[in-house]
Amino acid sequence: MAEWIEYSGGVYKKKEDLYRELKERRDKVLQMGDAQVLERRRKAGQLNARERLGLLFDNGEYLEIGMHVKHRTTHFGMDKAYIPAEGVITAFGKVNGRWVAAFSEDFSAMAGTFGEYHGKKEAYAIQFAMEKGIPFIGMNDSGGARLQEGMDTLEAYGWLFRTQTQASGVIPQIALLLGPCLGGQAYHPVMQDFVIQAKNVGFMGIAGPAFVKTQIGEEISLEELSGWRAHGMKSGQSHVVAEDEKDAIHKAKELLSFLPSNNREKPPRLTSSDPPDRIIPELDDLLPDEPFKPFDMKKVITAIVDDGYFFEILGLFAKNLITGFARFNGRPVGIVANQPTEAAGVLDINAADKGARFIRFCDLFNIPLITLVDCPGYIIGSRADWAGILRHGAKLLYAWSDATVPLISIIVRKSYAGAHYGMLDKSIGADFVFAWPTARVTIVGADTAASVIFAREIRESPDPQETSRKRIREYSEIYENPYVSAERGYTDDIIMPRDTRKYINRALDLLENKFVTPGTCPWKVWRKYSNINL
Amino acid sequence: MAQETVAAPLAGKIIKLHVKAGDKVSEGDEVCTMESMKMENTLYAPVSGTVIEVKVAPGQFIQAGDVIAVIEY
Repeated sequence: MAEWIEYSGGVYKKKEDLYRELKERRDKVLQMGDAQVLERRRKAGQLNARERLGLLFDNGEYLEIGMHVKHRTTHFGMDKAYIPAEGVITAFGKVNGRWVAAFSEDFSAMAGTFGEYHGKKEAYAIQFAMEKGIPFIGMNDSGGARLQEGMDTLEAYGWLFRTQTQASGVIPQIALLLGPCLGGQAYHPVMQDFVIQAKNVGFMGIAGPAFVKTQIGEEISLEELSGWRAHGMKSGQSHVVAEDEKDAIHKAKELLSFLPSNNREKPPRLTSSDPPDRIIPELDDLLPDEPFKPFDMKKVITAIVDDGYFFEILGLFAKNLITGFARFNGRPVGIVANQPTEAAGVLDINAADKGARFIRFCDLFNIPLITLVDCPGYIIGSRADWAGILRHGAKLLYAWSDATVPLISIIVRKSYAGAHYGMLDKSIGADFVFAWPTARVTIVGADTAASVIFAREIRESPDPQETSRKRIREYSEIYENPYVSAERGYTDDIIMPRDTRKYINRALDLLENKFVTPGTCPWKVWRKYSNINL
Repeated sequence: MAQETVAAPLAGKIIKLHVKAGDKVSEGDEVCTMESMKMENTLYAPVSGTVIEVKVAPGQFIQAGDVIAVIEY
C-alpha cells in the first residue's frame, strides 16, 4: 500500500505510489485464487477461468470489468477472506469478429462459490449484454451457494434468474458446464437457450450426490446423477455434449456462428461455395420401396445443406426428432426432421418438447425453419395419454402457429393425422410445402381408415379378410399420396427428391423479407404472449 | 458398475433379438428389432458394456417403457 504524505490541509499519496498500488491489486487478482487448486487442475489437463476466456475470444483478447468487486460479509471470518474477482470474471470480447459478453467462474477463488456480489456480477453481465444487443456466454464452474452470506446469496440468485429471463428472446444465451453447477444455481444454465456440457468435468443437477443421500437415501455417483449422460441422454437439458472444456468452448463458438447478435438482426449469412441449385441424384434412391422400412433422415439433411454441415441440437435425446442448425446458400436455418430409424419417427412427449423449444428459439432470432417429414403421428395409448401427450404435443402446434420466420416443409414420406400440423403444414403457417412423390399425406393410414369406415361391411362380409384388403387398397389409392393435398393447394408442388436443395434455396430467396421488421406481422395482435401449453 | 437399460420406445412386437445375456456390446450395437407404428425399429446399445439380462422373447408384445435388456458398464 502507498504511504500517506501529510500536508497542512490533509494527506495525499504520490502518483507513482498510486500507480503501484493499482498494479499490486491487479496482479493479485490476476494470480487468481488457491494455488493448489490451480495446480491440481492444471495437472489434470484443465484450463483455468482466465484461460477459458482467452480461448473463447478472438486472439485471446478481452475487456474485463469488475475485477475489484468484493463481497461485504463479515460473519464466519469472511471479513478476512480475499476472493479474487469475487470468484467470477466478467469479460467482453469478440468471437468470430462479433462482440460477446461472458463470465467465467473461478473454482480456485473460494471454489467459485456464488455469493451476493458474485451473483451481481453475473446478472450485470447479462443485463449489459441485453442492453447492448450482444450474445451472452456463461462458463459455469462453481462449488455452489456461498452459505456464509445467507439471505444475501439467496437474493442474488433471484436477480440472476430475473435478469436472464428479461434477456431471453432479446439476445442468445449459452451456458457452458465446465465444472460443477449443483443446487438451485443449476436453474441458471437451464434457463438459457443452450447448455453445452463438457464430459468428465461438467456436472449439473438440482442437488448433488451427498445431499441426495442424506435427504432421500439414494446412493448414486456424481457422474451418474449429474454427468453428460444424465442430461445429454436422459433429461434433455444438455443440448450439446462436448469431449472436454476446449471442445465445449469451440462448440459454443460454432453455435454462435449461426446466431444473430440479438433479436433485431438477421442471422449472419456467409458466402457459400456449394451451388444453391445443386442437384442430388442419390436422393432419388434413398427411400426404401417398403413404407415400413426405416431410412436415415440424417442422410437427407447432410445431402441438401451447404457442404453437408449440420450442427445438431439435443442429438442424444428424443432421437426420433432431429433438430439442429445448417446453412442454405450461406443462410443459417433451423431444421426439424423426423427420424424413422428411432421409434418410427413418432412424435412423443420428449420430441414435442424438444422440437417446440427449438422452433421458438429460431423464431425469436429470425432463423428460418425447414421441416423434413416422415411421421406416423403422435404417440397413442394410456401411457402417453396419462403422461399428457396432448398438452405436450400442443407445444409444437403453438410454436408453429406463433412463428413468423420463413417456414418451409418438405414431406418426404408419411404425414398423417396430428403430426401433419405438428411437423408444419400450410394450415398451421407454412409458407411453402413441397412433397416428394413418395409422400403419403392424409388423415390416417389406409388400414386404420378402412377398419373404421368399413367396419360393418368387413364384419358382415363372407370373406372379411378379402373385403378388408380391397377396402385398404381403395383407401390407399385415393388418399395415400401427395396429390390430393396438391389438388387442394395444401401442398405447393410435388418435387423429385434430387431437386430438394434447389427448391429450398429458391423459397428462402423469396422469403428473405418475410415480416423482417418487428411489429409488422399483420395477424399479430397485441398481447403479452400466447398461452402455450407448458 | 452402473447399469443402463434398453427400453421399448413404443408399444409393439419383438421381431428379433441381436444379443443374449453375457454378450459384450459396444455403444451403438444393435440390441433388438421390433415392429411398432407399422415400422420396423432397431434399438441400439446406449453404452458399451456387458448385457446382464434380456427380458423379452421374439414374438412377444411389449408396452412402451418395458425393459428389453439391461447393460452393465
